[in-house]
Amino acid sequence: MNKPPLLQLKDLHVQVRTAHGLVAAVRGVSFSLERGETVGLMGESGCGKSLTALALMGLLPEGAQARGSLQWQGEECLTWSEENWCKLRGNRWAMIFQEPMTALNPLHTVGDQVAEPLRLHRGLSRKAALSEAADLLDRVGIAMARQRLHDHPHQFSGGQRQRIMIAMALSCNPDLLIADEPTTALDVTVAQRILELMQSLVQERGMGLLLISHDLGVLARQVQQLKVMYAGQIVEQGPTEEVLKSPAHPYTRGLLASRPQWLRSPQAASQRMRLPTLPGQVPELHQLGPGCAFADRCSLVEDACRTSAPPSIRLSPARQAQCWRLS
Amino acid sequence: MSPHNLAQRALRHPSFVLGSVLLCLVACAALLSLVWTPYALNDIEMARKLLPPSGSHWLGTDALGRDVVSLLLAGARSSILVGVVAVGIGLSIGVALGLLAAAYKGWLEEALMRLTDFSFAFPAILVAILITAVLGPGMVNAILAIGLFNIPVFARITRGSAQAIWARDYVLAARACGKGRWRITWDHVLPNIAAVLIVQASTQFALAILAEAALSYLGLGTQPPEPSWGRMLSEAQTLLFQAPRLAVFPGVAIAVAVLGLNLVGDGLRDLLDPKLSRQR
Repeated sequence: MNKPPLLQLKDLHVQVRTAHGLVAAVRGVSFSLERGETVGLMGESGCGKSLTALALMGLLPEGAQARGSLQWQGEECLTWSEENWCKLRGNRWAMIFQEPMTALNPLHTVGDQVAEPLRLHRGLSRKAALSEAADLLDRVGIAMARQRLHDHPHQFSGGQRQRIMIAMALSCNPDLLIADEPTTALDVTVAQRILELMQSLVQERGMGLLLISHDLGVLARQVQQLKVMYAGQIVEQGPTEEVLKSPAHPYTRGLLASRPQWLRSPQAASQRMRLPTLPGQVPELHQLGPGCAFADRCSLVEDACRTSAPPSIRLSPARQAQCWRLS
Repeated sequence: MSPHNLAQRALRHPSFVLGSVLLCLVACAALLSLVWTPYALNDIEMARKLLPPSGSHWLGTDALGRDVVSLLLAGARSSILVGVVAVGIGLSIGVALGLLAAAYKGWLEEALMRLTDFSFAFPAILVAILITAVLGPGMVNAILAIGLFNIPVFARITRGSAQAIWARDYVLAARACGKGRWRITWDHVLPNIAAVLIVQASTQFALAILAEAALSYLGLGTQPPEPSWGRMLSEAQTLLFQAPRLAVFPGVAIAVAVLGLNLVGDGLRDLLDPKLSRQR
């Protein structure tokens, strides 16, 4: 019998309570993730990336509901009690957040915060946990980690704090690491080093990595599998290289086209070419019609696009896209 | 924020220093009265009633010939007792309820908060009068009444500030590490709202002293012969024109204690603000 995948999402829906009533913010997301696999979730702001991640951790905000199936090694988790989640979070699954400046408690020392999951999940004593925390901080590249255990978060820079967050997330050697825009708040050189660090840790420990970002450049280099999200749905997915080389969905194509090209062709830069943009905005979720959510911005729109939802087309064994034009 | 650093900054904070000095004065008076007063408190001697301040009676004597300095020293004792116990009641129960409401939300929060709204609908002094009227006048019942009124005050401020902490990123990060509600409340919420609570406690302490004085003035608080600043005021009322000093001295004592507490509370707010302590 096949071993069930580490993580499997089937038709996950997340509804959020808003002024317009219940709105579907994530609409039928399915994918699976294996140990050692890196998956990228990409899309504009408000397309449901972060909500998907929070649903994966059982940390949906108040008023939000998840529906569908979320299985961890074949076990259904959506129906779990809070205690079950607490045992898993930080232990088998860990998450890194976007804002390293605010994700550490200003009142506790860094050492105590990194040691906390170890004491919580592995029952280590404070002393043993602190000693392990020092090793972890050293591993993520905090200089003189042992001396800095007793420093408070405000004594570290943004990049260092993100390293501390990573050390915290990795403390219990999780099977899955979810990183929600881990480098968005950091400057480019620091971001690059953080990504390299994450990549080496993933390879070293054989974790699964779900990297969420709106930055194509980041994802192109970091993940094997790319999922492009739009208005709460995965509109295109496949191996990163193939998706970037021959994007199938008009949205992916538009995104790729709107990248600055001047790095590759100096002529274009001298001609002061305007960057192509995607017209329009992400649709309001409560105003979605029955058709394709991208129809209003799409240059290839047909009648069918507005009346019924596009089918999921299998382009190759590993690639799928949702678009009427592909059928 | 190292303790050393905190102490240094405290010494450079003028209103905190002034407030501490005033509070020390009151505390020393209370402690002193336990071992020594110039005259015995029940030393009633009609022959020397209403004496003006002199070498033997520094602040004179009252209508019953009791030494005013002795009464003031002993009165500090009741004021501090009332403040500590009443604020203690409010702090322990109110903070627990507020934290519970913020951690569990839902109907529990609604119920607790509507209950506090309900209790705020009654003027504090009326409730205190009601309680002492039902249970009988006396210091213990006055303390109980004041303490009871402190509960919703602390419950509300705790719930409000705790809610703000629950919305912080580091709480989400802590939950992502697998911490349960109680651990987050204990490790993250309480330490981060402690500064607010300490400041509020100093204000409530001052209010409790005033409330005790008010209740004693109305005859519902401390009963004779137990000394109380509030009762000294009410007894001085009838003699306001013959001996105004009898009202002035306890009034000044109350003002000193309340001012001291407010200044210390103000100072603590600045000193405990983590943002200000970042200046190294």
